[in-house]
Amino acid sequence: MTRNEILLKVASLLAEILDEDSVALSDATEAPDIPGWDSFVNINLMIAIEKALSIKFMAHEIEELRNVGDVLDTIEHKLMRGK
Amino acid sequence: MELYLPPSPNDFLERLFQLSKVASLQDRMTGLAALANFDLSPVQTKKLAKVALDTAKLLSQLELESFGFQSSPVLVLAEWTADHLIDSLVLAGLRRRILFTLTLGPYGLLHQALLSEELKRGSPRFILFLLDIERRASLVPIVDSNASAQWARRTQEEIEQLAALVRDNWKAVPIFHNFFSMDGTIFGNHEVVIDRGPAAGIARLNSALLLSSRDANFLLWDLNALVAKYGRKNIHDLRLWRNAKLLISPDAAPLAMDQLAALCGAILGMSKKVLVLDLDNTLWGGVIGDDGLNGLRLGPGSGDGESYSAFQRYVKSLSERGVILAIASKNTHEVCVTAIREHPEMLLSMEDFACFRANWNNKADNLIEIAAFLNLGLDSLVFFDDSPAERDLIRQALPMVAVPEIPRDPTYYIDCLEGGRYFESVSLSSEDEHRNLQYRENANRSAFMSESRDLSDFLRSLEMTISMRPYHPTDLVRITQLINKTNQFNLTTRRYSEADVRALGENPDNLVLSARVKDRFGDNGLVSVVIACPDLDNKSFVIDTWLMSCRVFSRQIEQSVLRSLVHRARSHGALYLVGCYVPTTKNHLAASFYPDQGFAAIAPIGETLPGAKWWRLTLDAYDEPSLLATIEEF
Repeated sequence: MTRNEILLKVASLLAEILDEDSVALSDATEAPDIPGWDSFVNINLMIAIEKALSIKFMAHEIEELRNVGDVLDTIEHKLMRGK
Repeated sequence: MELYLPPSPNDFLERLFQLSKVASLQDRMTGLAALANFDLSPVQTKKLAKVALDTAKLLSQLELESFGFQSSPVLVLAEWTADHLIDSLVLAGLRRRILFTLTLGPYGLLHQALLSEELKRGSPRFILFLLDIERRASLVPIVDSNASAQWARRTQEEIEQLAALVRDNWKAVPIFHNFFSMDGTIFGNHEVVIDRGPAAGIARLNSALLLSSRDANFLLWDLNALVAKYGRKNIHDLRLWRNAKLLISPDAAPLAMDQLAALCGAILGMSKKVLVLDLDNTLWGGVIGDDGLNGLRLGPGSGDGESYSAFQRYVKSLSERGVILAIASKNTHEVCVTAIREHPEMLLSMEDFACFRANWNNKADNLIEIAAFLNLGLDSLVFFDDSPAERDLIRQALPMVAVPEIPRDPTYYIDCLEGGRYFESVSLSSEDEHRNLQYRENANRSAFMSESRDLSDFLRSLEMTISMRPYHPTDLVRITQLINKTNQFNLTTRRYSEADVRALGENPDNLVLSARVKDRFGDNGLVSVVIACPDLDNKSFVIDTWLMSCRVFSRQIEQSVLRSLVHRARSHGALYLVGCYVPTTKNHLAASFYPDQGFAAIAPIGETLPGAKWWRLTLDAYDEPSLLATIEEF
């Protein structure tokens, strides 16, 4: 999975949770930039990513990932290690 | 983790949108309840819950009840995050025609919340306590062998004290959950044996809570059973607990809330009473008309056969605890009867079914007939049928009937039926255990009646004995049960907990009477309850509650109870009996009861519900009826 594919996947999962048609994300996007992306949505997003990509976040990652770039880095890293 | 609901329809949003514009609020609520019976995504859940709660704001409690719904405000006092459970609870309620409106109390401040006058103004029906398991369990010492027992006792006392605060100051039913161990054990397999450590303490506490829930009168939500069935890691995500104090992970919310709603539903009288079963591929594998007796899969020899046997055994146990069984099958009657009588592996017998409809008619018509025959509403029925087409038909034709989505593999039939928590009860009385027998005896009475010339002839030949007894503690469970589930002959439909009934019964100023009925066909048990409280200023007794089981309609029981009530009220020096009729969607047959018995209409007394009609009987003017039963007064 390329980084861009991961980005699109995360965006579509977030859109589903927020009940939007689509959400535009970039590496620099932070939760407060997207209306409705609160801490509970964040938890749901992380769980959805785990299920969709068969990975598992650590507790601090669920809590601390600050922007979309960090999320993508972490996912990329986990997917790579999985191989 | 499945709720056995059919998949969400593709046009869910369109349907929801159309429903939100439906002018008839009754049709709208019914439609919303039907939508709640699909397997919805979190987003869909949220949207449906919002429309339901918005609609509920337009409706008074009485209007909701007249639509066959119950409204139920819940105060949540939480030491862990519950916000993500609310929408799921609203939906789980909607599936049972209960409208939960939730208020979250101040986080972590249980005692303060219980003293709050502001929260009290919300008049909650239930107070749900969500306790921090980890904080309490971390206090279990492992040093000496008494420590886990002491910890369990202290925690039990803490819970009982909270329950007592609710009981003394609120008109609400407290709900507590039991505990599970987040840490596992300190000592491993041997922990519970040596009785030290958190798992040992929690095991002790959980069994202690079973007893205190009865004595301290709170409802116990068996969270631990959920954890045992689905696995702790599927119910509880430790990361989310540590990060955000979510005890129940978002994925498990629909399931957990469904179980909680079922528990509340039992108190609200919304549990189901009848299990209507199909035969082919439901009670046995194969089609009797095609495969013949020897071609059926049932009993040892195949996995499926074992599963059908296990399902029959489960259904039989349900019947033994008081769930009424009925058959609705598209089949030739004689072929089915032969199969049930002659197949050596059949566990259920013809005598287990209170009503048997094997014919080629439309199943919706059969269900309507079954409900009418049993004298129960269609909303008392659960329809269990392997055919998706029949299920679809019933869902559309009779939306008030519960229709679980049956798995294709019979291995999971029990899981599906059990998981739906349709027949949840909060008490078990000896009447429950004899219910099927009583309904069968009733069928005998019906046959007998059609042979009798007229009603009084019939009543005389029944050789009835009616025993009138003042409140006795041994009747507490049955009286409470009748109060909470009788809908048809129920003048006021007030629901009371065991503690309420005990308080009313033990007050010597009140008249709390029960009637038992026996006849030549059997013992009907305790079938009627009346509660009257004195109004000294007006020299009268006011009838707070009067109800009677539908099994004994039209048998002069109500006249016998009235006679007893009149005599007892007179001996207390009263001059009048005052009663009121509060209409609901189900009790119209009692609407003219008071005037029929010679009561005269009067102006409403005190605080009164809209639609209520008030009546008064002057005891001096009471005409003794001629009764065709032997009356015993105790």
